[in-house]
Amino acid sequence: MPQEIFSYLPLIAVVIPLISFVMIMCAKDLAWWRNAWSLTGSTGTLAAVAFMYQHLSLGQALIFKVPMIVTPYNFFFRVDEFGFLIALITSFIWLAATIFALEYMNHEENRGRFFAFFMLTLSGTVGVPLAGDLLTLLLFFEIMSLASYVLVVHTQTEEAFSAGNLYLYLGVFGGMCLLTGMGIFYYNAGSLAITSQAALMEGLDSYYIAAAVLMILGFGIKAGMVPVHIWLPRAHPVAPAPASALLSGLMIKAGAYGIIRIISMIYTPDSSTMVMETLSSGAVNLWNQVSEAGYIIIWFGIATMFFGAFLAVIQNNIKKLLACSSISQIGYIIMGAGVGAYMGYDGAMGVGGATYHIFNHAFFKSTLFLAAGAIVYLTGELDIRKLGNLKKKMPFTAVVVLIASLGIVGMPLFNGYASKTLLHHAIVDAYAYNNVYALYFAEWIFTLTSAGTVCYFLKFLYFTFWRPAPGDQEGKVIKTEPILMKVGMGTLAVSMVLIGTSPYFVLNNLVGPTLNAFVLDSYLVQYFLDINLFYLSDLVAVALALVLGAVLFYLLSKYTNIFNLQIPHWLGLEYHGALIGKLAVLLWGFITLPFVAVQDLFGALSDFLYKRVFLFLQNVDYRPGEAAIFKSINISNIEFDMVLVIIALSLILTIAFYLRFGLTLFGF
Amino acid sequence: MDRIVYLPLFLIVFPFFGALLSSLIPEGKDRIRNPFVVSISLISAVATVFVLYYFYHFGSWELLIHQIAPGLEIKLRMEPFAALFAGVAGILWFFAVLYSTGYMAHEHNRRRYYIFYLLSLSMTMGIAFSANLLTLYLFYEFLTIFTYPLVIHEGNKEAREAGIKYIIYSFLGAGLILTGLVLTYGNMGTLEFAQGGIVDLSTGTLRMWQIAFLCFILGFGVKAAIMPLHAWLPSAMAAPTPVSALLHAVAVVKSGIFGIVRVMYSVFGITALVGLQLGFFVAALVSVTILTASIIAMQQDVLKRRLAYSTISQLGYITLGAGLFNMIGLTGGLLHIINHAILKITLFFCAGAIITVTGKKKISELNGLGKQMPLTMIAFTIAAIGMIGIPPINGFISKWYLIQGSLEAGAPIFVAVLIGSALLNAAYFLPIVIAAFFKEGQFKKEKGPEAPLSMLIPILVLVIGCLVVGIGLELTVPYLHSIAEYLFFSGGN
Repeated sequence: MPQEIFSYLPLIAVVIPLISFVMIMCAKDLAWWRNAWSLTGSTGTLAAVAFMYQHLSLGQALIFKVPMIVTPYNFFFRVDEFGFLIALITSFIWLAATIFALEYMNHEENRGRFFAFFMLTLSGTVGVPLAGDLLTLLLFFEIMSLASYVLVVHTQTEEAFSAGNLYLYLGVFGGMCLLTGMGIFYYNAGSLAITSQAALMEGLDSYYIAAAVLMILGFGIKAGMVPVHIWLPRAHPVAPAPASALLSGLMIKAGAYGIIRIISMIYTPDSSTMVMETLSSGAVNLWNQVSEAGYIIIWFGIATMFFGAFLAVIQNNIKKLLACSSISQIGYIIMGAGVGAYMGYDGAMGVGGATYHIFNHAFFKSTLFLAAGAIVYLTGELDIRKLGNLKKKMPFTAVVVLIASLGIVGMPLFNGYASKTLLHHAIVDAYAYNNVYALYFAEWIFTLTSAGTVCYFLKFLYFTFWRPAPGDQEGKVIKTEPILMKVGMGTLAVSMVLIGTSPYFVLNNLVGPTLNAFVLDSYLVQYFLDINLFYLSDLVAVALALVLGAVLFYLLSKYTNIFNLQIPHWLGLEYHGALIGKLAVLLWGFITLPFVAVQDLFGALSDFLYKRVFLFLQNVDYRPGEAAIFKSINISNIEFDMVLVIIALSLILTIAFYLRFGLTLFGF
Repeated sequence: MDRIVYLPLFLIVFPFFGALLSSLIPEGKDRIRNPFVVSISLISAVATVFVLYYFYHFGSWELLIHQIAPGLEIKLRMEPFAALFAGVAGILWFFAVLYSTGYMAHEHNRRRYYIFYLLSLSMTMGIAFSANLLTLYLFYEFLTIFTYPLVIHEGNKEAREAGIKYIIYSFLGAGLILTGLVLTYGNMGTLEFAQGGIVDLSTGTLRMWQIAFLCFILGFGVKAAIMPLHAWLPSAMAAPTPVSALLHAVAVVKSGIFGIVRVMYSVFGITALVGLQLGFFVAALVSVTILTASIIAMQQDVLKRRLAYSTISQLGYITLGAGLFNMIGLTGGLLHIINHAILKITLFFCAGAIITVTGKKKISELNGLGKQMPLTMIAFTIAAIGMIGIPPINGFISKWYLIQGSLEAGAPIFVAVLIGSALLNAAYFLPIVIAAFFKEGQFKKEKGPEAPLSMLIPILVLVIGCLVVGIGLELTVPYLHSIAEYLFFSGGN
């Protein structure tokens, strides 16, 4: 265990944006005020997180604990290297998006509300990786979930509401799954700490398994894991671009982060068990069960990545395409996490690859969404069929998008290459680990998905930037990107180039240390750190994906009409949402049927009672007539209750008498 | 200390005579009556705080008022559970009276209204401090009688029918309680509340004690709105909003809950309760209540009725917590007494403010209300999120303890009930919030305060209270835990 030192930094990191939120709410319509506070909020958070590095680099973990505040046990922050990395990229990208938003939001209404909730969401999102126990994590997770709803429905169109409803209710459902899972877990393990739990060594009963399933479901909903991804391609595109950048780039990572924490940390034996010569049977059992769970999660990841890529190929709206691409990329991450759990103590490659991909994907997906924002800001159009030739009109954006796209398809020397290669290693290792033949296919699906990624990004680049614009767009003159947008996107693009050209630096200084937080074989961790990323076989694998993707794109555009296709309605995302909605309504009808029946029954019964009993009593009113005082019971007419009381009393006395003496009289 | 022991009696007598005095003020003289009733309730609230303060320093004490016969006494006692109920009622009553001065400004019959409002406070305090079932029963009956004029306040047909329903249901319940009371007294010769209970199951047949227990549960269950007996509550929403807020979210319904918990833990005691083998029955009945009420709430369009069904559902949480028969569940139930009281009174106050300012009673008419009444709707939002049970608002903590309690009782099915109900809560509260803040409507932004200050201040103070209680859990949880420990005492018998 690393040395733990008390520090206020985690608290400061979440409180600064909270203060910004309150301040912006106080004077929403004052432009300079809210801009200043937004910048203060994101800069302050970044600074607070960055200052943590001095402790973490010494191998210390930061803790902050207040008992009985907000959660029934402790309000507890504990920052290890893994949490630190996530918090760092969150606050860094948030700052870039804030700068971008200062300009972008000029063409939207309700700016004050947007920036206020932008800050509140930051507080939640940065709090998730800093949290030290599950309940504190849940607190920030819920803040993030609810606050980001306001960002999703920002435009207040019908589409936004329907997407927002799906987002909100699935989010609440996910939160409740987490709460239940944590409740069950706490009851059985007696602890909520995000570390290996000794109680698990005594064997997993069905409660622990239920808790794990519920928690993974809760996090999976936020991560956009198939089949609970349905909210994602609808909610991410409707939000304003800076918000979609963060939703897609960072908030879904909170889900992935949670999944990794659950399976690779909480449900994993303690490192102290691994120093012994022979493993205790409890530890062996736990490793085996985690391995089984990991195998299932690998397939969820594979399904997610493939399905996401498939959806992305048929999208024509830039933001929807990017959102589907997010599903696909989160699939890579979940797969990596699954491999990490599947290989257990030897899973350094899986966990490391997933972490690295979280890091990379946050950068390129945020950049792409910001670029989409710039495109819609300047052209007012998001449909790639109506756009074209933007490389001439928006050269800056074109370069930024090119850098990000080369990263996401895994071109060597751009930032996605390293993580994709590591994940590819991970899946190959997973096949070699137990020789489960299905995982051999998984590797093929992996390559195919990479080809699909190339295909839909070629589509995006070709249609939007390279081809000549279709008729009416050709002559249209558009302004150049405003400076703040350039700063926002440029910062991220430059970071990506730096990350891409120095993969070993990132591996050793940012991603590598995160593995210290997990229970992993130190030899394999070292292997992971010393890996040569530029082996010929890896380059061939990437080249294969690139060529395959390019060929696929060529074939699809040449011989099919798939890119200009009006997507059949049963493939459309709205259709899925609506179908789920209809099913829910139907199911709801079935569930409520008995309740409604019972309600009606009681209504009828109470009416019957009222008519029969009460009117009967009224008829025996001893002061009959039109002005029967009985009809308006009030305090001056206490007789009625007296009648009831007397009836009740006499009944009771009879019973009491019977019970007291009757039993003996009748010889009981 | 000598005089302090009379404070519980003072808390009963003072509002009573205050009410009688306020009847001397003529109908039209609001400028005299409003300060008068507010100061009466303020003094009561301060006295409540004093009682609590002395209680936590000097422990419990008793006050014998009158002895009818051996074992039949009118007696008051200050003890942990009494402190909880008296504290909640006494403090919230002050806010409700303050709120009433704003809400009732345009209503008729204000004199009658305030007389009975204060009389109800007096009776609620009596319920809280009662030391035995007889005293509790006495004040409980009078509470019904004194709240009746408040329910029929409007005087129209709807209100009169609601009043009749209320009276019939209440007295049916009272009859059942009386039955149980006589059965208990007949067998045990005492009605005293005691730690660990007074009932010894061996004095009668099990069936007889089961009947007595069910008489109590169903009798008090009328006011606690357990499902087949709940019908009076939604129709009693015909009353003015402060009445609905206080009586139908806090005092009257909670007096039913108070009775149930008292009967369970102070009369029967945990040993006898387990012996009765009725725990699962009660918990199942309450679970049905929780889910059914939530489902019915979704179909309501009148805001106050939706809140009423939500109340029925949330009261089920408390009874469920008590019916799980373990410490953690009971702690959760007791926590929910406080948390639900603050949350629901805030929601009702918001509903009342909306009715006063805009005249809208239906949820479908509230689109865009956030523009005109931002503060009220923010308060509503916070309370609604608390109701769902999302941290950091206070509803979360009771839900957490109830989940732990359900698991402790070995019945994860109740976890499913609680979570299902939380989801339903989200499904019927969040659309109101969304409609108010994001949908387009005809409401315009106004200058000046959105609602009369006498209404806005209680709303804001209470919603800040929700946040404070939700964030600073050390303010409530340890005390509630010790109360649960006190009630759960199993050394008796």
